[in-house]
Amino acid sequence: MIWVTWRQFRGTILTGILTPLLISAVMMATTLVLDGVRSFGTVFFYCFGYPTTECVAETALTTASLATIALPVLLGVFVGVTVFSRDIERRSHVLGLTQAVSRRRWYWTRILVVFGPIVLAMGVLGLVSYWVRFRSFSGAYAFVGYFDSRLSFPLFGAAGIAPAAYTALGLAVGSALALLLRNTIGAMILTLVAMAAVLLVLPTAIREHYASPEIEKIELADNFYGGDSATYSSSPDALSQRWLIGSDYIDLNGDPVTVAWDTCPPNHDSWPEARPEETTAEFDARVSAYDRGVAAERIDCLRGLGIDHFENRYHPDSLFWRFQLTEAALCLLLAALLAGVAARLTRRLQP
Amino acid sequence: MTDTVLSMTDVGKSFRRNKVLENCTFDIERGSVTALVGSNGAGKSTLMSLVVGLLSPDTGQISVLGNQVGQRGIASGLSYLAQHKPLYPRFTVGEMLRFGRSTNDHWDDAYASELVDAAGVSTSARVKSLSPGHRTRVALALALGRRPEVLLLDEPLADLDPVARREVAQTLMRDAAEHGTTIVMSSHVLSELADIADTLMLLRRGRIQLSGALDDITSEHYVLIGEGDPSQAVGDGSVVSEAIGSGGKSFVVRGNRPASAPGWQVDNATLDDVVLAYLSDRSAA
Repeated sequence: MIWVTWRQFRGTILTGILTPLLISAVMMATTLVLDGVRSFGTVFFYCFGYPTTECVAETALTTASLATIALPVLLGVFVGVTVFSRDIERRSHVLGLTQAVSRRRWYWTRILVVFGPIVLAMGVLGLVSYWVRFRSFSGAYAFVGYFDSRLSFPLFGAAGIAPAAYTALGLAVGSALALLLRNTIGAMILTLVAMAAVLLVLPTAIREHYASPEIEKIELADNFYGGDSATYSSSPDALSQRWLIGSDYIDLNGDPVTVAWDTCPPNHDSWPEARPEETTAEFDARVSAYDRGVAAERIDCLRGLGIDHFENRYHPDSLFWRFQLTEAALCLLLAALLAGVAARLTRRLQP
Repeated sequence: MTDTVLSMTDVGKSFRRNKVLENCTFDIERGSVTALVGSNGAGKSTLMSLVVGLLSPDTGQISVLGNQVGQRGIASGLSYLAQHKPLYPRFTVGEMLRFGRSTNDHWDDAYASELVDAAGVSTSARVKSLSPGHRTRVALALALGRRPEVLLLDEPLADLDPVARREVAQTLMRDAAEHGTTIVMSSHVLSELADIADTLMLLRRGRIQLSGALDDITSEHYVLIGEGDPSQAVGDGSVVSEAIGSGGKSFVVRGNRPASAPGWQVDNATLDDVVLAYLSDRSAA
């Protein structure tokens, strides 16, 4: 039965294995050959068209990362669906189901022989991608954005064990829909929609709840300007790594307060101009005094609204593997549930 | 004592609101070669799919070789050749035989290879390049390689040319003769099967309307030709159908022939007469 499944799907299996392995090889080769190349953030396509070494590296790695994110969806659509729907549409499943093979065995052999190796190959791709981004150049960086946390989209889903887990889910969704609808095109479209939704919902609504966020409290002090700029009062290193999931003004009761951007406008003279007789030091002092005045005024205004402090809620970078394991477990659990449903759906298969 | 290898008891099967089989009951004896005849859409394929477990019945019991048919897959000792002769198009013939070997515990490789050889099909040929005749013979070799006690064939001779038709029929007859295989095959064309089969089952309106040995069936019926109401001449027989012929109306009647039927001409019924009578729209349900 294993041989039969391999013979029947060897083209699909080889494509599904070789594509991620090829992308892994390209990522690895780019990293090794262009050793020492530094990248400039995750501004995708920032560099396209500029044939410098750095840009070649970044373009290659950007494309590879996009492919790593897209592959679970594509594999679900083109492998997960067709492994069952092609057989059913040609009605050759009648042949397989009228031998001394139970439907259960017929189903699970396909899952193991076709899906197993593809998920493993995606696992290799995820680990290579992790190494390239976070572990090559003696722990330096390749293609890591300055302002993107690796806990968030797109870095999280393109490295570690997440790509393999997404792929398992994509294949399970595709095969379950193929057995449910018994229509290739319909199952492909629904798989595409479902997997796009999963990959959208996980980073935007689910992942931040894997742990309770750390809270950074910023007092309304001298250097406080409020709003987004408040986040920059932390050190840049911490900023580039942690995943900021929310910021709020907090009142004395500890409740978040919404403050419109124009609630406390600077009610002040215009920016100080340098005077001809002034030394630079004198001018700088006057500017500082001006800044302090503006800040004090704004802080008074905010306190007048009952605001006590400002806080950032974030997940530290150290949670990367914990989040990877949590998300992988979640996806694999869903995939197993779907596979169980699909195994039952094989009972409804008709000639 | 007869040895029943395949039976249905009060089997019903509907697809949505469309009743395909209703109170379908029959027994098939070991060693018989049965022609299952019915018009297109009469439920022949549904009946076969139920026997092999591809479908499950809404009501009733199906038993194959002493076991109830369930969802556990095809019964061992039973082989099925579907109407569309499913094979994997990208496999070679040799790989199809390997498929049979690896999906069946009970498999006679020598016999299957011999059948393919006898058909003149190369084992390195791709399935998708085979002619319909060769395709049928490879599919049949797969079904017979399981060394079945009961073989179910759905329209096995449809879309074959006369030469291929005779070769397939010979393969079947040889298997039945040498191994005592019980064969059930369906067709909507009786003449395809009349030479091979010894038993007839006629499926109409979801149930078996007529079944028995071919000879018994012809001898149980006769044709009455004449004018007027046949009810007196028929006696305790029953009129199956009427048709307008050259010498007046002709009635196919089931029952004993009348000793004398003044004004009527009594003829022997051929198998075709009987089958057409039962299949025609005017027959009594």
